[in-house]
Amino acid sequence: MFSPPIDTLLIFALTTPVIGWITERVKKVQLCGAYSTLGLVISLWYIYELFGAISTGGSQTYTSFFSSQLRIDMLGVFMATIFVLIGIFASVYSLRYLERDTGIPLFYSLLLLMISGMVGTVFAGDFFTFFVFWEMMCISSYTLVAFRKQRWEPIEAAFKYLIMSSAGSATLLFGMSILYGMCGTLNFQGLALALSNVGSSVWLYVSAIFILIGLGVKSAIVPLHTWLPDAHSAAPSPISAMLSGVVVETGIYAICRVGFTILAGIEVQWLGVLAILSLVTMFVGNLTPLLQTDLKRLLAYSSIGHIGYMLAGLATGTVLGLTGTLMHIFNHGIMKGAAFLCAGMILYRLETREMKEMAGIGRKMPVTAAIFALSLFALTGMPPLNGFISELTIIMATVEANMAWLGIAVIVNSVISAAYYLRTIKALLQPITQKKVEEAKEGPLVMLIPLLIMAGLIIVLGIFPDILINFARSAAIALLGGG
Amino acid sequence: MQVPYAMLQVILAPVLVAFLTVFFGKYLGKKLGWVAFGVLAYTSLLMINIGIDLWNGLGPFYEEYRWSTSLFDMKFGFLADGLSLPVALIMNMICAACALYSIHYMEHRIEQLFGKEEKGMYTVYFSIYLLFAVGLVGVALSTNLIQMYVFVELALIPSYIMIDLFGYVDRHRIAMMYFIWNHIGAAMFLVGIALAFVGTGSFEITALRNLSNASLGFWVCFFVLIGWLVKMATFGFHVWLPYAHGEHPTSIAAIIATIVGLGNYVIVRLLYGEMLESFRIFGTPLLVLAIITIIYGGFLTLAQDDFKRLYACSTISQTAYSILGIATLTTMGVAGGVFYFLSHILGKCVLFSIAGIVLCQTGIRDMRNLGGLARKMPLTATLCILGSMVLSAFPPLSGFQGEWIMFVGVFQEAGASTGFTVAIVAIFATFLTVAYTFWPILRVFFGPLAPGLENVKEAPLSMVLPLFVLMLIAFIMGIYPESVMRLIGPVVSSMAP
Repeated sequence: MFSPPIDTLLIFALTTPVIGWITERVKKVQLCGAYSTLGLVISLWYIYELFGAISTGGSQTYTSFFSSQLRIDMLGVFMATIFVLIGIFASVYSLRYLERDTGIPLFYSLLLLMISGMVGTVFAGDFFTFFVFWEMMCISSYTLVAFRKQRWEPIEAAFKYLIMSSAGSATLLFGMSILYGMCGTLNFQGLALALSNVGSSVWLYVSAIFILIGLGVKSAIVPLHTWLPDAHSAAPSPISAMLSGVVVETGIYAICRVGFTILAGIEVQWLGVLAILSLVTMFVGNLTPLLQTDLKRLLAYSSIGHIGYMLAGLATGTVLGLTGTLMHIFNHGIMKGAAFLCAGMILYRLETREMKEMAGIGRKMPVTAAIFALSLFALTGMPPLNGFISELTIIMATVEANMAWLGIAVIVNSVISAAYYLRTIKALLQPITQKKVEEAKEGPLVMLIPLLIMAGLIIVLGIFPDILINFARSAAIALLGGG
Repeated sequence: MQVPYAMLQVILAPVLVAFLTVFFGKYLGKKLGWVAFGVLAYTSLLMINIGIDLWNGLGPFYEEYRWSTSLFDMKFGFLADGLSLPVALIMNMICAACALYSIHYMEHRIEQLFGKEEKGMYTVYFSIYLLFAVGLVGVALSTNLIQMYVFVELALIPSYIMIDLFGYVDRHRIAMMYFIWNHIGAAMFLVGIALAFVGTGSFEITALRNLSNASLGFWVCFFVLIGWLVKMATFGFHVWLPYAHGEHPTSIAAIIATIVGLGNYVIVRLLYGEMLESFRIFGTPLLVLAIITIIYGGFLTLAQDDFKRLYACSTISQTAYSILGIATLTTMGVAGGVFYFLSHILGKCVLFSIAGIVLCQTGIRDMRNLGGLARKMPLTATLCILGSMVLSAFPPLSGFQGEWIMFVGVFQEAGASTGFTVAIVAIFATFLTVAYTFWPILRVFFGPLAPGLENVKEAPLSMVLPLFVLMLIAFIMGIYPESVMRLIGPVVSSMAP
């Protein structure tokens, strides 16, 4: 129907409430989490099979009812892999993290829906399908941010997120409708073909502006970023990891897909705009965290900075630059995911997000702190961890594309970012001041397992980056063509 | 005899031990110092083993491990030739000696800062200490620019954390200042690397050779040079150094002087060795900058009353001597510059450690309140005199040989009138060194015993003995300079066109 990975996710999303109803009766509600994790693993397996089919036979097309079309190429598979991978980590982690909450089947159902929305977005072959899945992702993410509805902060954050993001969706829809008016089709390839005949008309620019604004809200490009720090810090930590690690990057994906297929005719113009926006975004995203004392807010702001790096790679418009962007999406998903999950672990033990109140937690939770420090070093771009490889690729791509100023900006920003990441690491090592830190213990094993795997990935992808580089490059070539 | 994967072991063994320390540190407490010393002594022995082969005319030795080849050619290569090995070995031995020294010193410091029961801080200290040592040795052995950058950063971050946690006075602010200056230096270096990659399509150091005549070569030289001049704290970029070195825990400050000097090695390896044509333009400006730094640093040092800051400031002018040698672009000058750098770090390590010992035993840093300690601490006083002799180039210690070789190089260059002037000024400037190293000895160790110091005791042997070993090395280098020159000389002369 919608290709095996999405079908699996949707089936599991719809059956999770039923399973949850049963498991709640037998007082073993965690089984429901295990069930949805199973769904994600099966889906990952199907994605792997798709990867095999596509790398030998080229892109795959699925048509379902309403003549909505899926066209799966290497880029789609690349993005889907990271979505489902981080999804598995978040899902396993939530088994213990949410033990004090109610409505757990709902949580897992929404998580699966959000992931299937994202996978659908990257598999979509036309704008209609794209938009349906896009909204599915958005709506479930609003609900997930407000999951702890007994508190005021998540509600407020989710409401802000809802308003800004749905305004973004509306502008996106408007931009799409203009394109439909011009070309009479919503199919990506059809649009590309039709627009290559039209050339550049005023309406194309108008539609491009609306679409970029709509996608820009989702991917938190400055000045459309204001919802992000609230939503990402108020959400439950596994959801923060998902939002920062992958949901925001879906917006970057959408800009790549729409930009390089449909707007290819006016590439020079929008790439120039993106280059400027990238500069602004990375500076805002790296200067604001310097002022934060709230750990999750700091991480949320730093995501904006990383979005800036991704845009820098994107703005080169070359295969090398796009490879760097895609690699950074993958690596950032793992690094930032790990960082948020570690922050969540500290939050789980100490119930505070203030960095002052967690001074010295590294002594009491050495494994968590070690992984946290590792992920922060990777985020700084510290070699030989994975973040370094992708940042290096982006810098090299900008130099190669005669945009060295952007590459230098990335270097300057990584210098700035080191300041606040190191401040965070320092907070972990300092002498203990609070009584509750004195009494804290290492986190539970179920939550440590995904973290350990992520830490392993951070190191392995840093030391043996070739697999990821080749995967990302084939994805970039699938979009841009040529080599 | 060849040990398999010797250089990989030199890098990986301390990293592995540092990692294990995190988990087992709490059972060992301050005994971790012996573990750190053990692993560094082991890696030193490995390098001595390679050194013996080099001495016998074998080699150079090269090990290569693939990192990534998909987009860029990135390798982890380790090269031990006559230039890199002495640098790496002496730095490693200094680190080993300071590991022993810091056992007693850190006990005092941790007790002072955090109270007695803070065993976890030993774990923090010694695990990052080992990473720091790896960073330094790694820079010297690297064959790849990116790899070199990796190790530069690896040396920077631990030293930042150490000053922040264990430093003196206004340590948080100074730590940040230290980090920002040095990270900007490293970032400049990275810009240079990126430009070099654009020109050559490779990160290998030997590939820089292909760039020699392109106009890009100028900019690569420029950025690499600026990056390292910041780290070497030459005049104009020196603001951070007196603060950072003054407030670091002394065991680290002793080694930090090594990072500062390491710039000399990098400049010789990259710019003099591989792209001499492009580097030639920078010769005279560098000569002038070096002479300004020497004199400025000398006067700055004379003005200090603080025992730790004194040696911090002297690093500025001492490092500039090596730059002076290199800037002559003659074989003798460059070889002497590297020799002097090695001799200086040996001497400076001892002197900083002496400042630490005095601070540890008396609790006083201000030289106005010290005096007459020689009777109370004869070993320390002896060491301080030896260290000062290294710095102010008294025979038969290594400083004299270093300066001798270097000034031969400077006079060879002296055909040009600026060169001659510079040489004369620099020789007169060495008198400043004598003044600023021996006058403090007079103030601290001789004269009447200052009030309140009646009960001061000699430092424990674990602090003094490693320093005597370092002075022994300086002594051997002094009476038999051939021991190092036989390794450095051929490499440097093969670099000249």
